[in-house]
Amino acid sequence: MRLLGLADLRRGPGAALLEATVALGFSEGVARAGLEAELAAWTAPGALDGLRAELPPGLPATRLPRTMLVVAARTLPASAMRAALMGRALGARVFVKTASGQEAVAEALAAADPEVVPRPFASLDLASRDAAISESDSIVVLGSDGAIAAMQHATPAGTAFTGYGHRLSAAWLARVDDAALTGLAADLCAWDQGGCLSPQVVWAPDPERTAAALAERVAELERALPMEVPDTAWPARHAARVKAEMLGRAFATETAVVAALERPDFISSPGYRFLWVLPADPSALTPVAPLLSTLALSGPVPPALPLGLRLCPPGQMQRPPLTWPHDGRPNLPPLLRP
Amino acid sequence: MADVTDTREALLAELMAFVAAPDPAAFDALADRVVAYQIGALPAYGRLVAARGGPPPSWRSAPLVPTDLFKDVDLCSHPGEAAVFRTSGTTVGARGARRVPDLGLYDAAMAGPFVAHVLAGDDARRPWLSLVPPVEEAPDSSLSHMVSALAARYASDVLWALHPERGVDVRACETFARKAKPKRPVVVLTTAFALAHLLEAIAAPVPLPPRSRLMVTGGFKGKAREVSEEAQLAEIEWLLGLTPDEVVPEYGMTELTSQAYGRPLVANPGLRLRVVDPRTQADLPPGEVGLVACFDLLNLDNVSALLTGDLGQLDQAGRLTLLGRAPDAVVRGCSLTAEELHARTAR
Repeated sequence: MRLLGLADLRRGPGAALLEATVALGFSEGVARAGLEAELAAWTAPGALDGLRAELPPGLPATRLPRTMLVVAARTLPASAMRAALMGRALGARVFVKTASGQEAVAEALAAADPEVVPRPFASLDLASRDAAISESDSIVVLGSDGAIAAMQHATPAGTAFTGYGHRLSAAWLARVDDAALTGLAADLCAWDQGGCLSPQVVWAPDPERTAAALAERVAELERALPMEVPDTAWPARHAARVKAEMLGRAFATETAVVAALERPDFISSPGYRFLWVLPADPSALTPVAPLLSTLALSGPVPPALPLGLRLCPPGQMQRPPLTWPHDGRPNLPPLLRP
Repeated sequence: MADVTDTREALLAELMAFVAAPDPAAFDALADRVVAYQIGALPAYGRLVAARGGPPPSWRSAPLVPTDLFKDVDLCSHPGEAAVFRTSGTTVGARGARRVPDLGLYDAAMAGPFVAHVLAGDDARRPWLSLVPPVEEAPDSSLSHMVSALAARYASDVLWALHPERGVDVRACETFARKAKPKRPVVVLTTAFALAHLLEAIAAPVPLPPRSRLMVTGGFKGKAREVSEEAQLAEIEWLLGLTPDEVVPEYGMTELTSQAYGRPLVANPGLRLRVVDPRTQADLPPGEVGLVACFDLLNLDNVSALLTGDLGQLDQAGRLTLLGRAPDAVVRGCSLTAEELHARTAR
């Protein structure tokens, strides 16, 4: 696939994609590591064969989409790229509409493959939106529940529709060892914790000790993966840190805060590398289990995990293989024409 | 324990004396003692102070507690419960709660500044129109408590014109204005949001008697519509006949005992308003925009050093101009936000 020409981030469209990603606020180290991880998934031995194996044998050519619209309303560049590549894997021409301000990502993809076409339109420009939908026979939307519902409502019957909503991820460390800590530190730093595969919470047997050790690992990694906290993120970050200092312990590094609390209940992270470490109580998983995308595991598996939940070792959270059933679904079949 | 109780009683007495006869020169020493008391009496605050390197040299460097934390932590050092005031809740849905063990300080402190700023020094009883529900209808609203307590002292009669379900009773407000006696000024107390609804719904101008006063508080957080202050003042003048000088903004919040009044805002004697850098929480010089922080001397049983989610700017005299809510951070990825999580788990 021509899009894999992006794999060289030093020149050509790969360099443009890296630049577009840095322009979103990521450091070059973080952007490079994230894009390389995604491209590695596509170039792994047997990866494409495994993906094609999802398709039923004897699939008539009429089921293949000729044109696909990817709406990346709020997602990481790697996710937009993966969605576009899935369409190209089926031979479809792919229109890409990114969030406002992220148009350069679509343009970089288009520079690598002329069958990828940037299709910008304002979210309130319904005429342009409907025109893009009418030219496509498969639609993929990555974004909020509201963005998905609006696009699905506008999509006519007979057009394939696939929505990937926002999710959250966490880690369960029944065994806390070097590999788990180093891997989880990498998961936290990847995409500055902005992805739905990034851990917001870690459940571990000794939260305070785990948090301290994890902060040490993050401090080692962040030199190569710097991050700038934007001004607007400071109030929520400060509130979370004060909460941790009042109710538990907070361990700060140059870019991250790893905070231990005594209660196991899930708590949202304010993002930008703020990780909660909570006592490992299986009952705390239950309320958020339906919203979990990925759970990193070290040691024994906690009981009663939902079907379709992706389990992986720490360090692999932001490196899903191509055949990972995204939101519990296979990747290519939902894109086929009905 | 006896020491803590004795200290609290002594401080309460001194704070009551401060409220009765505010002495700016006494503020610093009292504030330092209040912080020291809170560090010892409120374990969560004590832990925060310890995490920041120990007791601060003065109240000015006491660690700031974001007001949002009242949603998660019982920030009250005393077992009593004269009232529990709750915030209205913003985008994440959860409501903050402030337990107040003793309302004596609260009630004593609100009167003088209210008379000075809102009633322009004239504490004669007058007819009031309130677009804030009475405390009986909203027992967990600090604003309702304040308005009801003040009404009991300064109103001749009150028309409570905000219904919890039906909203503003516009017709009753119009009738109130038409029946007002020309030589008897009235007082209107309202939130900015309720006032916007009233002004939008009034069919024709209903000028209030000369020298009437209107106190307006709050912004439009979490509301679907917003109105600029300038536009609202112009509407008030046109529809109610009040000049901007007769319209007095009030800045208060569930988490505070004291208030500030005016345009720009002047803090009550027990309150210090600051504007700080969101990143470092260092004080910003006059003219620079930052987060509004407060030190409320009278928050003895809670926490005095608070950080709000409001943006503001101080002038050279220490008066505050509010500039709205601080914007939320841009989310760069596909992770479920706290707001989305709340929306999904609430279904």
